[in-house]
Amino acid sequence: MNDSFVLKVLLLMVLSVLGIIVSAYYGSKVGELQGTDALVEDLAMKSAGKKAVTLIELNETGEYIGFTLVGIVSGFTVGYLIPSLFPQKIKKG
Amino acid sequence: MGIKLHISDGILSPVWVLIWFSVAFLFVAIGITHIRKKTKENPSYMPMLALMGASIFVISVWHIPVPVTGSCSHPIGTPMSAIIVGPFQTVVLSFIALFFHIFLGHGGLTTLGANTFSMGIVGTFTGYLTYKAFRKLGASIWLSAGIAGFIGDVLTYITTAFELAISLHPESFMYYWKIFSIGFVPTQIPLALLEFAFTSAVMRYVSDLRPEFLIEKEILEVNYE
Repeated sequence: MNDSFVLKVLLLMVLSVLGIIVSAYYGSKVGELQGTDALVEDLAMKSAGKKAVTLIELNETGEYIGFTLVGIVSGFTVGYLIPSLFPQKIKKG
Repeated sequence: MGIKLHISDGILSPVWVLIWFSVAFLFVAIGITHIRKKTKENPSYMPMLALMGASIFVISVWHIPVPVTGSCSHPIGTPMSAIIVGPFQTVVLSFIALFFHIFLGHGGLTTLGANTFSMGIVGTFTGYLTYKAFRKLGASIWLSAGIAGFIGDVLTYITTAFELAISLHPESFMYYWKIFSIGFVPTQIPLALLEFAFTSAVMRYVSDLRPEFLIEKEILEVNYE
């Protein structure tokens, strides 16, 4: 447990999980939040009398699957590259 | 409506689609030449580029709820990348990330140029120049990077508001620019603070562990901190 890297990663994991729990709690109380981009886009469309088009419309499940896949690929990329780019400093003595 | 990020298809007029694509392609072309040159000079540059690409991809599609406004939005990650791998190179990474976001239902093909301009060019260069300016003024790495992240994030959204206003209401675009900016900014300010936090933390991490990345780019003096 004296390894500072492990402690930092543990802290990061705890903070990330805490953030997810707070977001989930807030979501369960308030319901799904609209994206700001979509809200302003909608306002812009109404003001101009046009309609936005989405080429690929993902339902909720598709969004989760897509985001999970993105997370996995990016996580592996980052996890694979970080140790080679940022080797831990070796303490002398 | 739902949780859509970036500007969707069918919104911008064809003229503005072409203009934003032209500007984006110019920056992407310059970025590609920079990448080719840098990868020849430094073999460890490509993994760093891939790392930043993956980071931008995830950060800019990460919708974070902002309870005070009852909506959600995303940070951008491009100021951080610009400081570490370079601004033109970051434009290329943004273009690629935004292209793949389309397959997640965010943004659009015809608006790829406009989204690249706001997030990839304005977010990148304003962040990068802010970092350089603050470092020249003697500010610490974490503070300069944090302010760069904050400024880049907010200006990205002000630019998005500009793109919507100039395309949809060219006759009274100043008025609509203000309206659309007011729509974006309250949600974006808390996220810009988050961008401040992680940009400064990442820069501190890089400067502690691999200062040579920053020294090579002449954005960190040898006698840093």
